[in-house]
Amino acid sequence: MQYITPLWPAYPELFLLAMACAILVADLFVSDETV
Amino acid sequence: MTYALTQAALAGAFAITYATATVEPVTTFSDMFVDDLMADVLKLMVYLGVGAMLVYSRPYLAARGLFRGEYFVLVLFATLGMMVMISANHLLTLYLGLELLSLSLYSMVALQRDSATATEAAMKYFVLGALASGMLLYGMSMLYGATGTLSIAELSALAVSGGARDLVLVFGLVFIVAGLGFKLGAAPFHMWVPDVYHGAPTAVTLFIGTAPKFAAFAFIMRLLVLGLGAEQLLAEWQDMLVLMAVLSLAIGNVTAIAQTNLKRMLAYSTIGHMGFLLLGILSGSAIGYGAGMFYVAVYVLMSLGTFGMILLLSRGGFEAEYLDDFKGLNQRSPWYAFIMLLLMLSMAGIPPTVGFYAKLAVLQAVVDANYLWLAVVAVLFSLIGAFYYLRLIRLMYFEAPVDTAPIEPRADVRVLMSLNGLAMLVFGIFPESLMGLCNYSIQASFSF
Repeated sequence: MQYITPLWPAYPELFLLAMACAILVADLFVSDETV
Repeated sequence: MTYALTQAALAGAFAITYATATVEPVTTFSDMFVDDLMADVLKLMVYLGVGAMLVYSRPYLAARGLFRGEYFVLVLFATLGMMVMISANHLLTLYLGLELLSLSLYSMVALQRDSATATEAAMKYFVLGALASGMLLYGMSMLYGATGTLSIAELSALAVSGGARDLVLVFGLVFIVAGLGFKLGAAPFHMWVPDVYHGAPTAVTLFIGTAPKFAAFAFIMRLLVLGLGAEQLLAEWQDMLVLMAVLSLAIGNVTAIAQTNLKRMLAYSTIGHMGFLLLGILSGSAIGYGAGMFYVAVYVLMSLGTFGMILLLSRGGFEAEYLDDFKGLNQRSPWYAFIMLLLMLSMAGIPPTVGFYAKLAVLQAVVDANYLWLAVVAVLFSLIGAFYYLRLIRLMYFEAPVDTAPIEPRADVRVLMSLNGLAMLVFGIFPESLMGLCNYSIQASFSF
């Protein structure tokens, strides 16, 4: 936590990056019809 | 599911940005990243713009087999690139954000692999974009050579104190302004804009023509105004921007008249609008920068609506991209014709739409900066520009329809398009809120 807290001004960017990676992984398990 | 996750990601980022917004600038990552009010406001606008773009694009993408996970991931990476650019406080961060945005956009243009025009557009975009990136990097390396730093704040301090080698600095400035001109699509570096706007799938054109303009504005503010805004350098880049603004206004507005393809017409119109944005910046005052930010916000709102309308009228196997496709729109749907009327009036800068106030604010800043002749030139080219917007209105209201297919958009598109069009009128009647927000965020973020 001590490494993450000083980065609070960049939280929106970190969140969006994490979500982009999550979507990349989720896309592997989703068929084209249910995108 | 990936569509819903993407919208959720944007909503989450919106909430976090709103919750962590500060008036006082705060830095992190060894001062390479700054969070100030201008960054927060621009990021919030980016989320709204990208979210609306996704809503408009959904039926279009689904009808063309492009509604796939990789599209949404590219959109999110491009958005991330914009956010990094907006908050950059270091030349490397700025470049990192720019490349993340640019590389995602090149891929998105080429996403429709079966289309020869899309592939050609992607190739042109990539080659010219790489050239622009090279110019920017060369300029940045010269700034480093002249000052010994890549930090924008230190660059600014050295430029003010005169502790930099002036000639190298000015050479670097020339390359940076040229690179910026390319990225912004301002004349004489505009040649990629019509081809890319025309060749890319319309959903991607909508994306390229909207949210990245916020990032481009932040880029100019961080690098030119903050980093190289010292008095002796201001005069140097002001002259370059005057030339680019006049050329953009002239080439954009005059060439747009000859276009029959609406996407190409809007591409040239974008070049003209970028000329107006440059006018706000070159005035060199807080009011001018605020007017520039207001202009970008209004331009993005207008572009969203206009390209959204092309998407709305398109269907599987049919692109409503020609002016003739809008003939008789009033007979097909009076409401959407009215929305398009508001958007076109706003683009032309006719009251009481918000486009008028955006142009007025910029012109006031230009006159205050003693560039009266420039304001006269801008008004003249705006008048020329009004012709091609009004021509579209004539086609919608006074011609018989060529395409008679029923217009049945999804409920979310219907609501958003209506709000988008009415926003032209509401912000036009009450421009103070948005204008005040832009001015306040600029003044709080920079010590003018």
